[in-house]
Amino acid sequence: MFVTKCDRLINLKGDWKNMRESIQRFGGAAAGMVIPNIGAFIAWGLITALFIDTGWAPNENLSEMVGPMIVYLLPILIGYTGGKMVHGHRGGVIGAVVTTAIAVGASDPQFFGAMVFGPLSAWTAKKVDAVLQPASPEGFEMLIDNFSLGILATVLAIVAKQIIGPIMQGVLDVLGGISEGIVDAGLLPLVDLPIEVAKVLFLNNAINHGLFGPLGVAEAAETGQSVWFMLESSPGPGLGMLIAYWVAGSGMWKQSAPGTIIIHFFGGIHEVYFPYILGHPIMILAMWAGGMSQALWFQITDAGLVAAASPGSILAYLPLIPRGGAVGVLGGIAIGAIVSAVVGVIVLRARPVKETDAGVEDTITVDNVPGV
Amino acid sequence: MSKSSINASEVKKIILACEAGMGSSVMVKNSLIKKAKKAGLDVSIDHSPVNLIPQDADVVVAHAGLAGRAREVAVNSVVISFNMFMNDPAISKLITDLSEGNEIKSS
Repeated sequence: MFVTKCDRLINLKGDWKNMRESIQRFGGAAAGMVIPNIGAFIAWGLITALFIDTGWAPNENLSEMVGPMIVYLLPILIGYTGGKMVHGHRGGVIGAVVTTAIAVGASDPQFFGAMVFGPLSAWTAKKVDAVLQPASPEGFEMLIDNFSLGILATVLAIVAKQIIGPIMQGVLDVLGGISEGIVDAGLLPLVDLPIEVAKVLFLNNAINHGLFGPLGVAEAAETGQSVWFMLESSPGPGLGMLIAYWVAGSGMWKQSAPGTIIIHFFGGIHEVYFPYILGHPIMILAMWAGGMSQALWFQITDAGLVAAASPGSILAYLPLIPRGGAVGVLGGIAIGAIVSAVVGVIVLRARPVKETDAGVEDTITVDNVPGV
Repeated sequence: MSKSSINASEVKKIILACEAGMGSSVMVKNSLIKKAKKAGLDVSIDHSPVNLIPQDADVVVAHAGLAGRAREVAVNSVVISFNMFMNDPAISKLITDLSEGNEIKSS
């Protein structure tokens, strides 16, 4: 009986691992479509922050670029990249065509549409190519390649414009309504609870680029800023937790903390702090305390960034703070860091990391727990 | 599934894998390159997203949280997992094994 119970527990853990890896995979795909294009996002973010009415140097002429870039350029880049991941350059081309059609068929920026239908239309092209290419008579390859892709793209574009665009707009309206409802109801601090856990399980890209990014862009296109850009990517709580290790930690945790702080806070590579939580899971309390206080401050001050900060470095944040928004953004990061540091120190004093001579080898991580 | 071990003399190409292949893997790659240079090793060291690990990689290094996926993709490679992004014992051991010509085991 005991054995079956153990087996079931192990199976459950196995299911959880599979689920985590599936979400990671989805996140990896989303991140793979977004991250290579971050340069364009930053250009759009800077143009927006500078030239819109409420920007640092309002300029009606130059701000004409803001709309087309967010509605067409960025989704098309994502759709192209997503298509390319599935079926090389041909996949990218058809992904770009179909994403354009979705963007025309909807009114808000179609990031979700691009992430789903860019790869999907490329997959369709791949299937068609698999049939047509071997059957092409000698000398007609180019003609068939070009026209098969062109005709398929035309058909898919019509479907995308007439059907998928409006449906994706509906999906976005619902998600936008939910996210607005969360903000209006004052529930942002609660959203932080799952975020902190998911982050250290390497679901950070799935959350930030797969979910919060598209939500934030839809909101920012309307209001000029969004808090969704900051919930996952803020470097504040991680900074505080690492400071706690520096102050109250011991051994190699303490020694490595300062270097990790620099990479996390200035380099924006949050992954470097995950082991400090995975190796001593109770430190998630510090992240929750910092993250929730920070979210509360963001909520009170109505803070937001004009575009996604990637990587989540303080240096990536600075140029994307809307005019008059510095207190909200930087105040939130500071509060997140301070609260997380204080709680972290208390936790480390009460429950120090059990250290062995071998350093981290005995620490428990998600993958070396027996049976996981 | 990935291979269980490889002899140091056969290792020509090491890949650092992370999820997007642009953040932490680049950072760990650079520190590994420095260590390899110091040890006088002649190996190519590069970085990659975990789902696009090149099939000709001899050794793949990934964080424990991603090692499961690395093992599925890198069927021709020995996968080494680590926990800390800086000064991880697994990475120092890899350098030692390479320079002493030991067997490099999946971990």
